[in-house]
Parts: sequence; C-alpha cells; structure tokens
Amino acid sequence: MTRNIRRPLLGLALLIAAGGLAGCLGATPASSPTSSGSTAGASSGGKTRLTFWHTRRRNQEKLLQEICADYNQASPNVEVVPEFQGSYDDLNKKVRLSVQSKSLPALTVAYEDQVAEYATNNALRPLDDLVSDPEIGLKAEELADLPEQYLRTNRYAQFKDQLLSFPFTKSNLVLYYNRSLLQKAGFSAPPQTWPEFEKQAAAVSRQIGKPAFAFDMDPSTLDGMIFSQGGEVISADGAHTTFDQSATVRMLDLLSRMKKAKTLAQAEPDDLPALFAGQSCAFVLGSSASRANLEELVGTKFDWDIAVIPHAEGVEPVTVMYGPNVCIFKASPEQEREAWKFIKHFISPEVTARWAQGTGYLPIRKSAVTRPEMAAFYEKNPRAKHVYDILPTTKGEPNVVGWREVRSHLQAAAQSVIGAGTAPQAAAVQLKKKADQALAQSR
Amino acid sequence: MPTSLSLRRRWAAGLAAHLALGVAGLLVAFPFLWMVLGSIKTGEEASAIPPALLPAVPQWRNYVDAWTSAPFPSYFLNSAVVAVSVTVLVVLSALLAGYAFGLLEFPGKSLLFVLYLATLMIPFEVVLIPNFLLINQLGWHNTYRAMIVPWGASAFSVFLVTQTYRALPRDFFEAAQLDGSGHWQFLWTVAAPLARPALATAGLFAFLGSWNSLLWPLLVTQNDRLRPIEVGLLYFLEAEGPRPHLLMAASTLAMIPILVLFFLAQRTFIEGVSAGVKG
Amino acid sequence: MWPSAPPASPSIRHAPARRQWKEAGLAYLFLLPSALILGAFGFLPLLNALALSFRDWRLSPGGFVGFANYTKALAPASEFWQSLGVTGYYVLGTVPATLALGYLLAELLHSRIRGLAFYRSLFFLPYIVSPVAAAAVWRWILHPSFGIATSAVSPLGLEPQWLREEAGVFALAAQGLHVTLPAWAAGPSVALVCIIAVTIWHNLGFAVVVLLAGLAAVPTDLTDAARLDGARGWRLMRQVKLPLLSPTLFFLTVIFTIRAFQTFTQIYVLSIDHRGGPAYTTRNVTLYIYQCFNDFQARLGAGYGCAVAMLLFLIVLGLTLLQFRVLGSRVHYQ
Repeated sequence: MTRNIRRPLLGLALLIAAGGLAGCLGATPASSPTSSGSTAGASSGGKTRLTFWHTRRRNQEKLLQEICADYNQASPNVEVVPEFQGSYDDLNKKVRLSVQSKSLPALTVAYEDQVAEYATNNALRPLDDLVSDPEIGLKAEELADLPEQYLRTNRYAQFKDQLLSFPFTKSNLVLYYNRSLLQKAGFSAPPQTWPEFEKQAAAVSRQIGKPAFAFDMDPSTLDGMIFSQGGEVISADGAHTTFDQSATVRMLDLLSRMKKAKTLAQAEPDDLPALFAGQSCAFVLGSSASRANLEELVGTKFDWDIAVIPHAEGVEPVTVMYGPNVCIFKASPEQEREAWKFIKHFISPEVTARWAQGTGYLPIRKSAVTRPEMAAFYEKNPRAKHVYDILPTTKGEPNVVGWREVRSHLQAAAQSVIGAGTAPQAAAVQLKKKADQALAQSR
Repeated sequence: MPTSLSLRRRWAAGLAAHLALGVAGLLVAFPFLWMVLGSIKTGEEASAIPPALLPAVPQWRNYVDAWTSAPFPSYFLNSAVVAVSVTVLVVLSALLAGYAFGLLEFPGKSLLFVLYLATLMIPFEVVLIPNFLLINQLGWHNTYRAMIVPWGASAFSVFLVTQTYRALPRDFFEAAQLDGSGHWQFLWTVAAPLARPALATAGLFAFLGSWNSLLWPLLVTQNDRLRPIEVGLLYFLEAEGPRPHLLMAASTLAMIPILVLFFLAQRTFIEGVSAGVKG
Repeated sequence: MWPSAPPASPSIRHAPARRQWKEAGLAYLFLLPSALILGAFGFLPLLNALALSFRDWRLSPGGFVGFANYTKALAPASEFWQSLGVTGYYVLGTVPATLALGYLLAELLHSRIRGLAFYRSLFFLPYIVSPVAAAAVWRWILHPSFGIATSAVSPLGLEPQWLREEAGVFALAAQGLHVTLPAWAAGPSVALVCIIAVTIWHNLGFAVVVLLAGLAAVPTDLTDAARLDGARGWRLMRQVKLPLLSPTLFFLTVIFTIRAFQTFTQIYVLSIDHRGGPAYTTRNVTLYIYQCFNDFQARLGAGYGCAVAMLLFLIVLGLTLLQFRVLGSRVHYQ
C-alpha cells in the first residue's frame, strides 16, 4: 500500500473500530431506546413498543411501514415497529431461536402449522377473550364480516379449540393460464376438469415444444390438488392422514402421467413467474399473491388470466387458502392488548382494502369489497376480481402439530413420483406411513 | 547446447502451458464475468431460454434497483464495524500473546501454548450451540458484541506472531536490559514493528473471516439494523430468486469491498499465505 | 513448519526471583485477553457441548437422558450416517482434486515469470470474495431452466437438474451403459457433485498460492542435479519435487480435510432448499447439526445436535491423527 493511501485508510479504520468498540461496550448505533436490539415491548417513556416480524420486502414492506406509521401517529402511546425476517422459513427459525433467547417480538406472521408449533411451547397468547372484549373486541357483525373459513382455520382443535392466531393476509391457490397459447392450440376456455387439463396441456406442449405445465410441488398446492380430487388429507379427528385413499393416488397418478408424457416440468417456486412470462409454459398452479408480479412481468406481451384450479369430474370446484395469519406472543397484559388493537386496526375494512390494493392479496373483510376504492380497483384489475370470486371455494389445510413435517413428506412423495418414477400407489402408501409417524411423534 | 529439436519441444511445451493456464483462468474467472454481465441485463434477457450472452443495452439502473430494495448501506456498515473491530481485537491479542510466548518466561508456558493450538482443532459446529446459549445468557442477543467478541482472538494469529519472535536471534534481546516495566515500552517501540508482517497477515485474514461469515451472524442478529452483508445477501437471494438480474447486481455490490481491499493489499495477502505456511 | 513448543526465552532463569515473578505476571497479563476469549468461546463450549449431549433439549431444556442421543445418532441407517456419508463424499471429492489441480497449476506457473502475478491473483479471487454472492452466482449458472450450464449441454440432449438432481452420479453413468447399480453404490448425487465442483473452484487459489511458495522454496541445485542425472517430467516430479514439497502438501491435506468437515455456507446456500438438497443428498454433518438446533426438525433438538457434534469432533480428531501418522511419516523434512 502506498503511503498516501495508508494514512487516511488507517484513520478510517480507527474511526470504524472506535464505533465497533463502542458497540462492544454496549451502545449500539440504534434509534431505539433499548440497547440490546429488539426486545419486544419495552415501555420507554410510557410508550408501548411492539415489534412486528414479517416477511415482506420492497413496495409491500413500504406499504406495511406506512400503515404502521399512520397507526403510530394516531395512537400516541404505542409504537409498532415492523421488522423484516427473511422468508417464512427464516422467520420460523428466528422465532424458535428467540424462544430460547427470550427475545420474542410482540407479534409475528405465521402459517397455521407454525402457530401450532409455537403453541406447544406455550408461547402464544390465545385471542378469544380479546376478540370478545366489550371495549376492544370485535362485535358480532364484524365477526360475521370475516369469511368463516378464515376464522375456522385459526381455531386449533388440539388446543381446546382456542383462537390462537388471526387472519392477516390471504390469497388462493389458482390456475394461471396463457390464453394466447391456449387459443392457438384451439381452446377457448381454461380446463375445468383434470382430464381436460391433461388434454390441453398435451396440445399446448406439442405446440411450444416444451412441457406446458410448470410445477413446483409446493405442499399447499399438492393439498389443494388432493382436495380438488374430492379427497381429504387428514381424518376427522386429526389423528392420522388419509393419503392412502384414492384422491391422493389419483393426484400422484396425474403427476406421473404428465411427467412421462413430457407435459409437466419440475420447477422451483421462484422460477414460475419467469417461465410463465417467458411463455416457456402455459399453466402454473400458484398463489394468487403472484398476480401483481405477473402483471408487471408480462405486461402486454400476451393474454392471460386466472381460473379456479381444475377439479375431478363430479366434484365441486375447491381450492386451498394461502397467506399467513398473525399471532401474539405472551407478554405483559398491556402489551398483549395493544398488539390485539393493532391487529384489529389492520383487519378493519379500510386498512385491509388499502393492503389488498397495494399488494394483490385478498381483503380480509367482505365489506371491504364494496368500498368505492376496491370497486375501482377491481374495475381496473379484472384478474384480481377473478381471484376474489374464487374465495368461496377455498378450504383450509390442517393446523395440527407436526403438519410441517407431513408437508415435507408430501413434497418428497411427489418428488419421487415425478423424479424417480416411483409408482403412485406405492408412493401414497409410503407417504401415509411417514406422515402418520410424524403426527404421532409430535403429540 | 540445446538442439533445435529440444528448442522446438520447449517452445511447444511453453505454448501448451500458456493454453492450459488460459483455459484454467477463464474457467475460474467465468462466474465473475457472468455475474457482471447478468447484472446489466434486463429481467427478460436474464431469464431467457437460452440465456442471452450479452445485454442489448446495459441496464445500470439494476444496481440502483438492487441497492434500494434492501438496506444495503446498513448491511455494509454493520459488516465494516464488526470486521474492523474483530481485526483490531485479534491483532492486539495476538501481539500480546505472541510476545508472551515468544519472549517471556513463565510457568506453564508449554502447556498453555499447546492448549492455544488445541483450539484450532475444535470444529466450530461443536461449539456453535453452546456459544449461542452463552450469548443468550449474557444478554448479548442482537448486539454488535455478540458478533465481535467470540472472534476476538485467534490461535493461528498467536502462532504466527510467536514464530516471528522465535525466529529472531537471541542476543538481540539480551542487549536490551529488561526489567518489568521495560517490556511494555519494548513491546510497542521495537517488538510490535518487527512483527508487522505476521500481524498484517493475521489482521487481513481476521478481517476476511469476519466479513465473509454467515452462520454466526445469522443466528445472533434479529433485525436489519444489525445484519451484516452476508446475511442480508442471503435474504436478498431468497426474496429475489425470480429476478436474477437484480440478484447479480446485489452480488456484485457485495463483492466490491473485498475486491477493493484485495487490490490494495494483494502482496500482503499472497505473502501472508505463503509465509504463514512456511512457519 | 509444524508448531513445536516455544523455545526458552532469553534466559532470565538466573535472574533474581522477584524479576522472574514480575515477568511471569506480565506474561499472564498479556495472555489474558486471548486466553479469556479462547477459553470462554473455545474450550468452555466444548465442555458444555459434551454436557448437553447427554440431555434432551428441544425448545426448552429437558432432562438427563444418558447415551440416548448417541444411540439414536449411531443407529443403523440413521440420518447421522447419511449426513456422514455426504460429508465423506464431499471430502473425498474436494481434497485430492484441489491438491492435484493446484499442483498442476502451480507447476505451470512456476517456470513462467510473465503473467505469474496476474494468474496467481486471479486464481486466488474465488477464495476471498463473498461466499454467499459466489454461491448465488453458481446457483444461477446451474439453474435447470435459465442457467448457462444447462444451455451449454442441452445440444447434447441432456436436461440436467444440477443442484436439484438427487440421482447418484455412478448410478447415472451405469444407466448410460444399461447397468443398474445397487442403491448403496449410487455415489454422490449430481447436486453434491456440483457443490464439490464449486468448492474446488473456491479452494483452488489457496492451494496454488501455497504450492507456488513451496515450489519456489525447492532448491534449484537439487532439481538441476537431478536433471543432469537424466531425470525428466514424471521422474523428476516423483523423486525430487514431490518429496521436497511433501511438507506443503501434507499441510494442505490436513487443512483442507479439516475445513471440508466444517463447511457450512456453501452447502447451505447451494442446497436448493437450504435444507439438505434433493432427498437430503447435500446435507453434510454441519448442516445436520444446524438443523437439529434450528430447522423444522425441532423434534431432534439441541442435545441431540451436541451429541452429533461430539461424534464429528471425534471423527475429525481421529482422522487428523491418522493423517499425521500415516502421511506424516512419509513427509520428507529437510
């Protein structure tokens, strides 16, 4: 290093080192009054501070921050601090670590199986009494304003049917299809049944020279496909799975056939938008939350739309819900109440409409749809309206403890059928065995 | 006297060697080239099948896009603070310990030296879980301290410094009549400058190790205010999978600080690695 | 090269006792910072890990369970054995190849002065840049749909899944010859082989720099003498250079092996789901320990994770000692 670079570089290094050693000794250069990071609810100077862990980035994070900022302004004794924690997987890991380090946030988003896991560790604050609180709770008509499957999925039978989480942001599993390519292959409407789906996929694959159906084997998608075959994934008492029944076998069979016929291609969830927008496939099964992103990616290059996922003949259309809920961790009564008040604010018709418009998720309140801004939004975005129309057909996935592991076994089963060519019947039986074991071990 | 045949053979061998080196160099450099090319493509070009080799128009705004999609300034600052602090601590502690082992006499010296070196044999996965639990117990969760202090000493650096002092001739020290307080002065005025190469190597690799670490900061940080660049980039990779052009821009940005450091201090790096081995 | 105990310092043994005590006190004072840190975050956790390995510790501390964690880990066909197998393939795949390629490149560079510094720095770059960034770039290069590696081989009619492919490479090769191999002989998955390749790319420069330094230290009079005796190429290498390089090669072997057993970042980022890849064929022991502690398999827990970590420690220790004994005896010191 030449002398004239060395000195200022050394000076800079010393400056940063000073900052770092100061950090060593305790004063982190943070705007928060607490010195050791994000402990959930330090009440500094009378203000209740609520850290809210989420997984949103970019403009969705900005919108979330704006909503929180507006709420903070309107409520002078509360400060909601949203903190990004990576993907849902990362966030789940962080929560687990924080249970150990006793530095849980006030609220976090979580899927039902994650909520169940937190509940087994006694970390959650049940919500029933908060919801029915005369002062800060939801009135009967407000509760009725929520789609009942959203509420139902947040009641946990294994935990005395308590409401342990609350719907936060929801979407549906839908079928994205490339109308332009379908029309070129001679089809005027998307497939309604699975046999139609296979036929259309075969025709389009022939045309584009690539498999028409890009599939990511997401476990929720697989659940939805099983539902659509007229089946269930778990027994009524929640004690064991029903993966050995015909619905699952037919689903795996379909996957196997399409793979062999080269009308199905395996892909990662991240690949799907690019594959669809690049017209390397014509069908994608995915969450409606991707709609906004696809609108941007596709632009006006070709015509596409959203439909309810295909179903077996003789079965009513049904699909699965996506989208996390929000739960409150045990803390001081004051903090828990404030956390609930924030949730109530977030699912108010006005805020949920704002969120839905900005992110492409569904509004949580039925009355939100009739608001003028939502009506205008649906006018401009007909596909978003299609997504909303599918809502009545959605069904929740099981929320029992151990379901996380069952999901990974389900995915592995689909993978082995598609990748290694395992026979669907055998794979289904294996799957049931492993899944039941997982459920039993988690109890 | 070399015959024309052996001259030609040597020339051919030389050419073959250059060719082999060129191919190897290209293979090694390829990911870097592809990364930069990808960072200036449009999303469509980056996700085209087959991928476009060169962008039609360089999209420099990808860098702005990536920079604003995540708190990169915060990430880089955190990495810098942590890495510099670790470096300072490692260098200082290695200097002191190396001085003790290399120039002082005290009971238990051999045993302690062996114990120091023994820590090199402890794989970090073994101590990962207990260290995390210890950090929690100390209340250091989500602080700079947690990222700095456990890495503040390096047995390898102590070893390097000790070897430097060991290699010096004996009468060099006996010439200076030392009593207790004299050691301190001697350390800073004479001994430390002598160990500069070893300390520079130790410092560089401590800096590098800290800057590039992933697992430990991933475990002990809880929000964007404290996350270093590796953790931040990992989350970016997960969030921007569908946008490889932005991911490549972010990756390039992440590589720049170390690349700059490398080009400034190339010789110290290379010599440090080579010399450290010869010790 | 290998550390031996430090020599006695310039002797104060004949000095008055008071001065000896002062010096000892000063020495302990100087050792304090590093000793505290290494002790608190090196040795102490090692003992803690041992203690924890005998307990059941999920999200909340459990009770003493004796050797239950160890028996679970060492059960036949357990996940531990599988992850150890992955680690074994990884070590065998990376260490010899890195050394061989490193030596080859070092030899090529050794005689050429022009361009030496450039190539040396170039090869060294992968070693120092952001591991996450490098892994992200490789993930993209090896993308089954959008990756340049895929486009490069698709004219051959292949549709490689690269990091998503769980089939073993030997099984695939055998398939090409219409032979079916038994399951245990399938070999490392394609995904693991990809990660091995990336690791070699990463470590190559370090090996080159070290070996270059080693080659530079080989006294030319010895090689000249050998050349005069008629030794060329292979013979020259085997009988003169390699023995003289053996300390360096030995050092690199031990270092690379120990590191290979501890790899986390590359495996984590390149495992397609960050969980151990397709059918867990890229889950090495380090990733497995992390999972025991943190991933959805919280059913395993930290106590079990510590038991696995202790087993790994013993294996690495044993392997290193073995290397010292077997290879160390063949190292030719001058």
